[in-house]
Amino acid sequence: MSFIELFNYGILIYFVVMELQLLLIASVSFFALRRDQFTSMHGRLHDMLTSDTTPPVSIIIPAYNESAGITESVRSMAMLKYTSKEIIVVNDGSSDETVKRMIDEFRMEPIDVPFRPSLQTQVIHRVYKSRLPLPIVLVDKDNGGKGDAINAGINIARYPYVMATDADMVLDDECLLRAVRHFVEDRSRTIAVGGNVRPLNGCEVRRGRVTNVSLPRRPVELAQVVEYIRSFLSGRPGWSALGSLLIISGAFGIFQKRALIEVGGFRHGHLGEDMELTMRLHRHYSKKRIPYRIVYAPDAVAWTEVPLSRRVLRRQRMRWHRGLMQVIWQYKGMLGNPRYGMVGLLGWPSFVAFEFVAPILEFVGWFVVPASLVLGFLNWEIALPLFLISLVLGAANSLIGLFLDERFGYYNAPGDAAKLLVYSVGEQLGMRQRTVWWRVRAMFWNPRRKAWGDMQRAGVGNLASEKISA
Amino acid sequence: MFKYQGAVPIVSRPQVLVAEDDRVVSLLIARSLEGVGADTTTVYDGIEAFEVGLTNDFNLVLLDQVMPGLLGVEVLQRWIDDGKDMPVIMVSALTAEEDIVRCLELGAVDFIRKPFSVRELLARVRVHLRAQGFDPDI
Amino acid sequence: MRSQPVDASARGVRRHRRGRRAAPLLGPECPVSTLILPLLAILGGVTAIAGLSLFVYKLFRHRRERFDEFRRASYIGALSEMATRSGYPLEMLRRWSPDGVFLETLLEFLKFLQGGERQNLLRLARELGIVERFVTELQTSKRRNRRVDAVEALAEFADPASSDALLEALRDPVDEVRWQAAGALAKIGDPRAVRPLLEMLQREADWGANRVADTLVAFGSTAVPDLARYALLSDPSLASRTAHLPLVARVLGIIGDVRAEPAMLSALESDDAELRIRAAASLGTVGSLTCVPALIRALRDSEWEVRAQAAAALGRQMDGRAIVPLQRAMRDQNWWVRQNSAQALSEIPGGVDALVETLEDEDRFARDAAIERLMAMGTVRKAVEAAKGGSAGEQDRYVVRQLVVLGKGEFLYDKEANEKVAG
Repeated sequence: MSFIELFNYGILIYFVVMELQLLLIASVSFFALRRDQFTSMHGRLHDMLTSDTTPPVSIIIPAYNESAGITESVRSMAMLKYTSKEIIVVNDGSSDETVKRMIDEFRMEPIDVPFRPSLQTQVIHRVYKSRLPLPIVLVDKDNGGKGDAINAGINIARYPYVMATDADMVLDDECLLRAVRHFVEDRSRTIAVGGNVRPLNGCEVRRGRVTNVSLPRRPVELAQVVEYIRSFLSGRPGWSALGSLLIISGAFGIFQKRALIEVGGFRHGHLGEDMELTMRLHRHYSKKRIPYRIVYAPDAVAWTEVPLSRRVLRRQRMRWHRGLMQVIWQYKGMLGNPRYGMVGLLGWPSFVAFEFVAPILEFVGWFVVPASLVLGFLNWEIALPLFLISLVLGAANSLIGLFLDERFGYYNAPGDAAKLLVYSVGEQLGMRQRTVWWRVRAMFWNPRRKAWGDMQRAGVGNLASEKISA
Repeated sequence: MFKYQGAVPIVSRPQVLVAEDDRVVSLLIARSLEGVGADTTTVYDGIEAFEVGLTNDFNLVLLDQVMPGLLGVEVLQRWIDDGKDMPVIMVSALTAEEDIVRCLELGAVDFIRKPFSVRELLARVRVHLRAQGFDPDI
Repeated sequence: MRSQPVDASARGVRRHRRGRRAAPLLGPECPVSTLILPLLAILGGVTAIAGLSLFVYKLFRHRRERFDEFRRASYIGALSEMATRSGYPLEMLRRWSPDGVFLETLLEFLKFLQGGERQNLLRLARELGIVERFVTELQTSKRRNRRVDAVEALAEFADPASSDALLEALRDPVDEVRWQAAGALAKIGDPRAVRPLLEMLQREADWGANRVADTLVAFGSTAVPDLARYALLSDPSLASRTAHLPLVARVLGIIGDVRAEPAMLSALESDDAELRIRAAASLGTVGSLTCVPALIRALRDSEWEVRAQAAAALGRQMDGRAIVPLQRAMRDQNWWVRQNSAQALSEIPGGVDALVETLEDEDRFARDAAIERLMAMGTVRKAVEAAKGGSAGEQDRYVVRQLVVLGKGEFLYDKEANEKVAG
């Protein structure tokens, strides 16, 4: 058997192994989801609402030029079902009327509140508080990026838990309660809880609440819906159950304030700041041998707009991959290191192998395998089935995501159900290859080149420059 | 802040605005108010509540604190800013004592905590209607 | 890039037939390909069938949901009618009562109703035999979800007739059933349940223990002797688990019976921070004046939450001995401790003077906590108004002057008053 043949089969088998790994995680997810019994949880949530042990939470909303939607967003936070919370809007040096809008709408007044700068941030000019009986605080500071804004919010926050979110997220009524449940259940160990982020595109939103869930029309968006479902339902619950959840979405994550301050808060100017923070938490706590939990709450749902056009999507994905590479480089020392427990031995290596290495191999594979077939180096009777198996397994993975999503009862209209099914299979041909191509391109993209214009955007808000009229 | 105008007997039916986003609760309140002879107008969100309250005169408003569009206290604040004087009863599940005090200081005439008993709610509504001179038997 | 690979391989296929033969290991007779092809077929088939069945299920679900929504609307109307009046057409209800949506709607009503309306609906449920139905379901159903639903409903109805079945359900293998049953028994208030619940508390892990502890609160003083023995680890029949002691301390605190004081005082000296927190908190309600020195000591605890709870508890005891230590605690690192200390001072007789004094403290955080409390109490507003009216006493003048110095309370502070006082 020649080297080329070996190489080819190696790639094909790698594809299959990757899909099998996903299947394995999906089955772990299945058991994790089953154990949690989300549907029959009203009793517990009601108990939490009335109990005095439910911890108060500070909600931090970084806002950079959000004057259009900031007040709506604050109202929707105020409507969250919860016992006691404060809402901290951090104006990150906006050039528009964000501050004025907030002051006018909520009758904010400047207050002189002393605070300890536990985290270093840009200069905070003023802190405002609402005159109405609403727990709303506005922090006005110099521009420093999303991470910096959240850090400033953490400095001002009074409560022991903080929730980091975006101004353009649409939250479900019970999401905070459902996420905080994990802190209540295991108060001493739980340091962070991540929520389930779903694409908002196509849904009907009225007054800051999702009133009807349905699918978007454009293929770009549809493929992302399938992708989100797969990643958030067949991936994360499993990893969370295995104790190596590596990403807590910065758009919807709840953290123990003390833990955040201990590791130094969000890093500024990082392309993958949420993943970087999660990894830092893992490293810090395993190094110090403090028992800890970082948990994913699939029933705590927040909705976000995903890119509408290919161009914006491409930029988002390339930025993500770039951030991912940054994180991988930063935390390479944890790879296979038994000191970091499950994360070091299982979670992190498999993440690197299947998120970072996979695109390269896949990319090479798409050229080499067909070429070898054409040139007759390969036996089609083995190569083709192997290839098809990896495709079918990929489709099966997406389908499992849909099955796991079933318990939440979205997308039941006949048209939506059919679309989801078609796309979960169709995504394997097209969308997947395109993402691989973007990821490979991202490896050669220099983030310091301002031409991309992402750095100024400072990571606040949504990447989609075109907004759907929700 | 709203001040009662002394007890002048009124024969007409009292007009009550029910602003509450939960359809079940609002239906229940409306039904029981109609049962005691009041005319009710029901709205389900804050902006609507504000507009309806601005263009009509109500003898009593039951205002839910947590509503989409505008929060209850915001609606109240805006009515006050626009010079609209109406007795407003805040209905809310928020339990902090200080918040209740601040609501009353802002200009609400009463505060009812959720979950509430319909009878208690009716009794309070009657008190406020009687103070305006409506038939005490309603 | 999209479907090229498949085409290319198809082309490769044709060429290959004419081209050279592959290595014998990989020929059509070889075991690998005879293995792979059926595997592919099976996988593809299973995926396709799964996909189709998911589609059918979703369709079915969609139709059912729309129908449910329709019935729900009519039930809501009818039930709100029945809740507010006493009579109702029993015949029609008999027809409705087997419907799950009707039961769901009924339970939803019970969740936010209180008083007479609630009684109306409960009577209705009893007359329709809904309670017995749920009891049978709880006892006989093999499906966990149905048992959970049944016990949840029984917890809402809180009918004494169901208490035997609920006592039995405390040993159910499904945790949610056990917890809900505990809650239901507490609602019914059956004193027979105290012992089984305490035994259950030992068996449960974190969250479950939390829930069971919460239910014990409902029994009030009846449960105190047992609980206090548990907390002192002096009950021979209960092999106490120290892990749940904080929970017991919390329950005792909420019940607020003075018989628990010795247990809480010894808990305050524990090594377990969580236990100290709970003990300090409960001493606010169960403690007498004897516990004040211990609480003052707890103001210097290493754990901030112990300090915060101790400060709050001292406020409830209203003992003048605590004033000076609380004033010191207002310089604490932690916002909660400062806040609670300020609040405590405002509750203790003579403490308000100490708060006003703190306005001059060298610590900025202490000053802030003091002024915030004074604002919340209305002292500041009163002072400003008194200053404007010209009737300001010494303290009022002082408070307003401090406001100017601290630059605080822009909306309460007013130029006119400032000029009158400071000018």
